[in-house]
Parts: sequence; C-alpha cells; structure tokens
Amino acid sequence: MKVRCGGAGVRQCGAVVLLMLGAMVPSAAHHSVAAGYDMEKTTTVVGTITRMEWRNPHARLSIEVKNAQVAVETWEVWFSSANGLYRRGWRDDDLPVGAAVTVTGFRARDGSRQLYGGGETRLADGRVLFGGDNPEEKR
Amino acid sequence: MLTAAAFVATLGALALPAPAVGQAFVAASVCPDDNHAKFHACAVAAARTFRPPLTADGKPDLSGYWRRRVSAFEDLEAHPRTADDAGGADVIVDPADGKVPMQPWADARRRENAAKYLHHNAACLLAGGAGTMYMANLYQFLQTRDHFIVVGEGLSAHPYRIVPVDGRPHIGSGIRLWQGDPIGRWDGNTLVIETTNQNGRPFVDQRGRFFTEEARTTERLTLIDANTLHYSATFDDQNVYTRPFTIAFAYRRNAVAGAEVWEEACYEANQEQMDLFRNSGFRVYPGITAAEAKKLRAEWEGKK
Repeated sequence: MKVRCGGAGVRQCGAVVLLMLGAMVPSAAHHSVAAGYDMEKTTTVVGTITRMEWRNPHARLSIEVKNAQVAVETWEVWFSSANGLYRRGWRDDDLPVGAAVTVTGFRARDGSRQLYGGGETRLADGRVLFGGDNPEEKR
Repeated sequence: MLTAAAFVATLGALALPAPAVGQAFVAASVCPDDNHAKFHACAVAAARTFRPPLTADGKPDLSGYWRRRVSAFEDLEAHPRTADDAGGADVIVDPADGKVPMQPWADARRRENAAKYLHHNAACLLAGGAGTMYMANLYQFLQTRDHFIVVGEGLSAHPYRIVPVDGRPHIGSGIRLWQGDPIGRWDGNTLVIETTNQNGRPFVDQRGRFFTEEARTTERLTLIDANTLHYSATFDDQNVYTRPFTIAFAYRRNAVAGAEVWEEACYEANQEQMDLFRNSGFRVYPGITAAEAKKLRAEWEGKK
C-alpha cells in the first residue's frame, strides 16, 4: 500500500489510509482495468488539478502532486467514460483547474504515474464523486 | 467508507444517472429474481400465458429501453464479487451443472488466453453477436416490419446489431464478421435469431472462453410480462465445446426517466490505455480458426 499525501496535512493523510482499507480486495481476473492496473493495492494521490479532459472511453484528470522531497510530480487519473461520469452526476465545474483534490485508485502496472480512479474522488469542499460503475445499475 | 463495490470498474464503464433514493433502475417483474436459474424457470412458465403487446404488423413488441441484470461478460460461470468483478451466479441453464462444456484442450487454451490477452472490449473491438447482448449496460431495441435492431451503451464500444426478420438467407459462407450474420424469425411470441458467419475473434467472456468461425449461435427473446424479456442463447461449436450449451437471463425494462443511448466513441481516446496494456505485457486476442482448433485438439490428444 502506498500513500502519497503531498499538499495535504497529516490529518488528511490519516483519513485516506482508513479509507483505503476497505478497498484491498484481491483480484485475479483480467478485465481491462486489471490488465493495466494493479487492483491488489490502492494508491491515493492528493494534489492540485491542472486539467480535466472529458473523453470516451475514459476521462482523464491531471494532478500536480508534491512528493516527499517537495518536488512536483504530474499524475494522470483515468476514470470511466465521460458519458458515465456525467450520468453519475459529475459536471465540468466540479473539477476546476487549481482546485485541491484527493483521488484513490489503482496504480498502473508499468510503474508510471497513472491511476485508475474507480473509487472516490474527494473535492476540497468535502464532496465525494464516485468514478466507477454503479453496481446496482450494472447488474 | 470505500468498499470493494465502489471499485468495480471496467474500461468504458458507464453509469446512467443515479435514480433518487428509493427509485428503481428497472420496472417490476412477474419474475423479479435476478438469479438466472430461478428467473429462467419462472419465465418459461410465465411465457405460456402472457399475451404480449403487438406492433402494427402484429408481432410481439419488444421495443424500448432495457437493462441486463447479470454480469455474464465477466464469466458465464458463477464468480465472486472482487475489486475487478461485479460477480454473480452462473447464467448457464444447460448443462445443469452451470459449467461451460469446454473440450479439455480448449479449457487449457482459455486459461492461457485469460493470462495473455486483453478482452476485445478493452481495445474498443466488438463483442460478437450474442456477446453484445450481455456487454452493454443500457439497451434500446427497435423494431420495423423487416428488422429487429439493437443498440447499446456502456462497456460496449457502442455496438449495434441489425437483424433482418424478412426471411432472407444467410450471407455467403466466405464472409466473416465480428458480429456475425444474424437472421431473425418469429416462433410464436418468441424472436429467434440465428447467427452464423462469425470471425472467431471475440471472447465469450472475460475468462478467455472462445469460439471459432464455425460457431452457430441461437438466441431467443420472449416477453413474459410488459416489463420483462426472457433471453437465452445457445452456443454451438463442436471445435471447442463438448456439446452445445445455453445461457439465459432477464432484460428488465428501464425505469429511469429520460433514458437515451448516447454516443460512446471508444476510439476517441483509448490509445494511452492500449500503450499501458502493451507495457504490462498484454496483447489483443488474435482469435482462432476452426483449422487451428482442430490442430490444437489433435496435438493435445496426441500427448495423452
């Protein structure tokens, strides 16, 4: 388990660790997400939005994150489709450039700074957006 | 609290607007159970007495917005909910053990497939005729006198099927298509779709199960009440399976106001994901021909 809390206080990082415990579910299947992302562990990034791209089949959120050495890293967070996010209630003004955001997801298997943000995206005002399927609708 | 359910996520995943608390995604049904076996038995009985609404040309009216209620695209057999799967009971009604009757060599092959290859959907490729029917989240069925049309959205690379019901024959045997050549006919109140001319390139499910271009699929759609469709599909490919097998599940009528099937341009922005898959060692499944299947079976049996 890795926690990156650049730009956020210790208290917020602690909260993120607690959130992650419920998501540690093993997975052996090879869905498309599991093919590209390690779904056996979660990673949380806390940073500042630099760009949100509403695209299909995956929307992309770019975040600047300060690492432990206080250097700035760029992380790319992939979500479900623009259609899906819109239908889940996400709107363009939810994710403005410059806003603080916390995203928990699965890190890319190739080690690059990419996450699949299938879980929750927490906004600075406390609102939480969910990026994955709605299981009750899907089935 | 972040839960496993919140992480169920697949590429191209779509979610329609969440209904208000207490609002259902689907209308009520005379066979409300989403467990396929219970539903199937109930549906067979209900279909005997239900008189479906008819179109202007006197055929059962299957049109409207529908939702599937199973995650068969993950695994036709029973599988648990995980971070990567919604999970669920098997959807196989024949054979009764709920297992896909794979030939031994083919089952070994499908395990290799699952380890090596991407599901076609991850590459924005089509799901095959029957596969399309359990890949999307939301479906719209349209009918004319001569055609039954399926469009869908969600997990599906925006597929469509145009099924002639005008009595025409199948296309020439040399033509191979991702979605195959579906030909429909009415058997009483049931729409029967026979699909041939498939190209053997889509998986049957995300566990690497497969078929060859010689596969024939027979689907049946029957209204069992105003808001429920009983769907079944029989897969027949003697190159891969020990016997034909049949899956069955429900489509239930959408109950979310304002439903629409939206454009889902899967190719719009999938290149970065494909790069990531390649970097992670996965390739797009190349499919298998009947000749290759026969050769692999002979080699398998020769080793024993």
